[in-house]
Amino acid sequence: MKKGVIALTILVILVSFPLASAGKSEVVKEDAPAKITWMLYGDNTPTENNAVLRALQEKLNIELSVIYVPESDYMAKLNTLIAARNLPDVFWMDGNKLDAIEFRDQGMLKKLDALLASDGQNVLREVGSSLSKAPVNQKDGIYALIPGSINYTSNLAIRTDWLENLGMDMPTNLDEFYDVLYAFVHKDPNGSGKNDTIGYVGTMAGLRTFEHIFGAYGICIDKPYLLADGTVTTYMKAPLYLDAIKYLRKLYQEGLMDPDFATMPLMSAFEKLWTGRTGVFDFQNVGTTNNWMPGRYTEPTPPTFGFTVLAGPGGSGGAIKQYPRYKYYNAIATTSKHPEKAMQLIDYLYSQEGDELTYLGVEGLHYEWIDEPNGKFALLDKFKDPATYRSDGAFVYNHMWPLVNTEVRTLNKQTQEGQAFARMNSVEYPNIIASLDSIGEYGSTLSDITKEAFAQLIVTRGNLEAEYRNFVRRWEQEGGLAFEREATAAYQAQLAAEKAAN
Amino acid sequence: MQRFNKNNLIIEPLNKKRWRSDVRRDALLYVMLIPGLTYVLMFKYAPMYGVTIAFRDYSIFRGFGNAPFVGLDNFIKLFSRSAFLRALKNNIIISVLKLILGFPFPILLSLMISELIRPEVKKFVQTAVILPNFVSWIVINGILYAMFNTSSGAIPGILKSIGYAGEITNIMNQKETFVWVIVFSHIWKGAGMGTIVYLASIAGIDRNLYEAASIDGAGRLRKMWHITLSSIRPTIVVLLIFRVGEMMYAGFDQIFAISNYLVVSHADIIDTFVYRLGLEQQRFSEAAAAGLFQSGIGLFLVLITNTIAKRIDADSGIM
Amino acid sequence: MKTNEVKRMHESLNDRVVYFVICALLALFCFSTVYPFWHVLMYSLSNSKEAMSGGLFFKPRDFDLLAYRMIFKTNQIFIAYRNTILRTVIGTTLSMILSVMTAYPLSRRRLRGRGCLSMVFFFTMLFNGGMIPTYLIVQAYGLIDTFGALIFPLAMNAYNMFILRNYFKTVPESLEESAFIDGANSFTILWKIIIPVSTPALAAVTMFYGVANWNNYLDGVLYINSTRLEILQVYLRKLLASTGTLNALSGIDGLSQAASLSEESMKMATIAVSILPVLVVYPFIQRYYTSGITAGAVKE
Repeated sequence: MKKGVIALTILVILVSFPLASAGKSEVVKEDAPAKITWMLYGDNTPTENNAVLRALQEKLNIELSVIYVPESDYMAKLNTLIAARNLPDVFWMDGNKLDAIEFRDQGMLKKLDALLASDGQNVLREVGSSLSKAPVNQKDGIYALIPGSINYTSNLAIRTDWLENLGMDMPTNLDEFYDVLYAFVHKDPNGSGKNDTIGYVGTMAGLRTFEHIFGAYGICIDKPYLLADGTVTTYMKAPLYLDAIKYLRKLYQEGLMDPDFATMPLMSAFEKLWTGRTGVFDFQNVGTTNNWMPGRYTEPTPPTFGFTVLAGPGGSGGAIKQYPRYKYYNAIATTSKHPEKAMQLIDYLYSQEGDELTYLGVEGLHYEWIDEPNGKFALLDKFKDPATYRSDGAFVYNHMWPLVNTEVRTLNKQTQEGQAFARMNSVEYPNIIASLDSIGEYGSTLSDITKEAFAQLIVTRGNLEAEYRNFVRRWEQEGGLAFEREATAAYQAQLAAEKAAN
Repeated sequence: MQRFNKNNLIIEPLNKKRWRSDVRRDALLYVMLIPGLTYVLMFKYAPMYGVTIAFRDYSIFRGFGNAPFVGLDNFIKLFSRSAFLRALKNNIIISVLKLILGFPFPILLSLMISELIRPEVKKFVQTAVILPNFVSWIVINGILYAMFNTSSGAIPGILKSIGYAGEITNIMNQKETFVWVIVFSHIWKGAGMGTIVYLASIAGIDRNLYEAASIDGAGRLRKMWHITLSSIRPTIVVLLIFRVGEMMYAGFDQIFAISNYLVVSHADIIDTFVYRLGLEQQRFSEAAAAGLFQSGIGLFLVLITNTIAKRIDADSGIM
Repeated sequence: MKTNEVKRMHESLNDRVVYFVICALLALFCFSTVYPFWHVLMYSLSNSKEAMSGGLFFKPRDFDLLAYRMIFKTNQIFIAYRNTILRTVIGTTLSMILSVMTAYPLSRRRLRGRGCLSMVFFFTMLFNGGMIPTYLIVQAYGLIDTFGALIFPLAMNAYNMFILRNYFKTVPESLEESAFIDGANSFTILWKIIIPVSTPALAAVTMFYGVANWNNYLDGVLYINSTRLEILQVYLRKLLASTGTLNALSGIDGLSQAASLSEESMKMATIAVSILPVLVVYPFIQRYYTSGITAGAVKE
């Protein structure tokens, strides 16, 4: 009997031991940071345990593994991960290049409504009202999140110091623009006495460098065009397209335009602006008057710029209107083990605090504010060195893009005013949100044809009209007509739905 | 039972009984093959089911299990794109030019290098000709651009300074001249790497043969032809067969880096076309169909070339 | 006799002319191959702004190491270098072992089924399963995000193996036979006879595998997730692209130093950094070609 009692007691003690420690380890487990993997694109080179990452992990109590992929290879990697059913917890994807609908229908995207309600206050504040417009969110709930901010609009920047030297005013239409270009080429605008200035610099490496010229004809270059009868078609079939081409041909033939427009890399185009060879540049002014000023400009006194829009046969002109990016998705995978933590991470990055951290770094360590309301700050100590700054995590992780984000806040006054000006003077185009099958089938072929047409029609010495008709015919036959049918129907449906919602 | 080949040399008897004893005799040799075979099965053959995507409607979301068989649909879709047919035509033209002009060049270069007397010079030249191989096409493209562009290029600059009155065009932007830019820059880049293999073979040639030939009064050229060239002939044949098998691949990296919309009608090849196709929307099925097409033609070409090579010399070729 | 003497004189004149032509052509070609690399090196050592004006470079314009400082500033580059060097050394060794062991049996005429076996390897040169199936296989073997993923997918290349096989074929059978009689087995023959005699081909193929391992990019992107295993090519590619973005950000106070660095300079420096090690190693391997001359004396 006694032996039995002792044995039983020992047994009880032995058994309760693991039970007790099991309980303890579970308690320990709950406090241990959740492991989150996050995949984003970018070309920075942060070190493995940089200050920004540490700050994020501490704030959210997570262990964050970032898969950081070069932008050019991002989709390839994402595709393989999808095929391998090996998705990270949080990831970004381009809905234009990926069938997000099927992604959702195969059950791989997590439904976010509940998570948003519990942990996504910042997200809802930023994009709550527009989430349902994204195609992937139109079935039965929210499956992906979109940016709060829209892309930068372009400004046509012209050097005001050169205009002053020549006693000319800022051009406001195509004819005045022609005169300015002529003067910039032939009348020595920089007073050097040499023939060292060129005319208009645009490149096919960035077709937006031709935005404002086409805008004068009411056309948004490389975007769909709405015909008077309601058909949505390629910009190549806009009634004034050939006139726009003829304007460019004139510039090309008279030496007022850089002849290497078809082959010049974008950086080479920038360099022509930076070295003071050209006085006109059609680009996001975030570069022209903010980021490149004054450091990139090589002349002893940096140039001064003014912005304008060109009126023409198509109306009052302007830049291409930037619409919200309804297919720029961030999502959580259904395989995520800690979806609430994942949502907390995303939510934090939608907040001003999180955006500031991931853009500028840790306040007090990397930088300090000089004039916070006006966006002025200064870098501290060793982080003044760009390589050190970036490798410690700055500019790397800000991938949720709230509306008024740190990047926008820290722009200088001229740039901010320029952005406002450009947004007010934009040319609209039929922006179709839904994914079109014909784009999937023929998209790249059609894009190739319009690009080829652009290049050839500007330089050709043959029969312009005949070659143009040829290109249009090719476009129509190789899927263009199918695109027109589908796009027109989709756009009409989209307009109707917007009307009904309002 | 014995068989004789056309040179009346005895080759292996074909008795079935001998099979087993031969295998036993060569057991070690077969053992040596095991790692290689295992590797190839594990890493090259295991993924080959992916080739079947060409005949299926595959989506990365539905996976392989849910990819219905669609027969030749993908091929039909592919071939109905006029841009694909154009790419195919360009592919053939560029490959043939590269083969005819490009294949002999490393051989010539190797022969010339092997004639050099001083070893330091030889070493220098060998290193020098290899350099372009390491430079990526993006850089080469940049250099070509710097040479030929009309606004600040070196060549137009030189032409202008010597008073060339004619029209100076950027040959990289002309459809007609572009193909030659591709072919010659390819030859230039690949020459050095090609010489490595040939020079390795040449290094193995017995020096006594040259001395014997000198005594017989043979000059430099004759020695090159009869000794050097004929000694590396087996290597040439094997490499030629490889090159022919690769004809469906006309140089993606090069053309991708260098092509632009003014020349694309003449420069687009299958690989660049398919790359653009895949970039817009992941059309893996069509890309797989194109890949299978390229591989199939390549195999066909290789078998023909190999058979021809074997007729000339039974010991040459791949198999 | 007189005619012979005349013949010999003609021959030597002929020979000299031929030799001269050969030298001239080679000199021209060498200039065309050396200059671009020189250009790259000089550009990378030049001050960005000066270099931007273009033209030919024979020496650096306004010597400036900024581009190199940018590359070597962070710790990550040393990690990237380490990974790539390890991968190249281990990978090439593995490749050579596999290739030699496969090439030797296939080079022996007496091997039964030699044709079929060769075809098995050759087939892999023409047909491959594609990016996604290969990824799935690598994943199935548990190699994702491990060092193995940097080695095994590239381990054997049939092209290189055939080059070796071809060279082994030229080794006279008599050498083998006498060794057999002395009681050696195939392994010993391979190790003691075939390999020493084949140094030129071995050196060549080592070079091919080495360069392939060194330059390979896509495997590092697809199979690797963590920065711990990042390879040089991926690091450099990101650095190059980010300089473009960095230029976009250089208006920010304190980053003006980067403003003086153009993407072109960065490109040039990146290329130099990724090529230089290869060029340093190359002359050592090249020595083995010339050693083949003495090896030739071993053959009868």
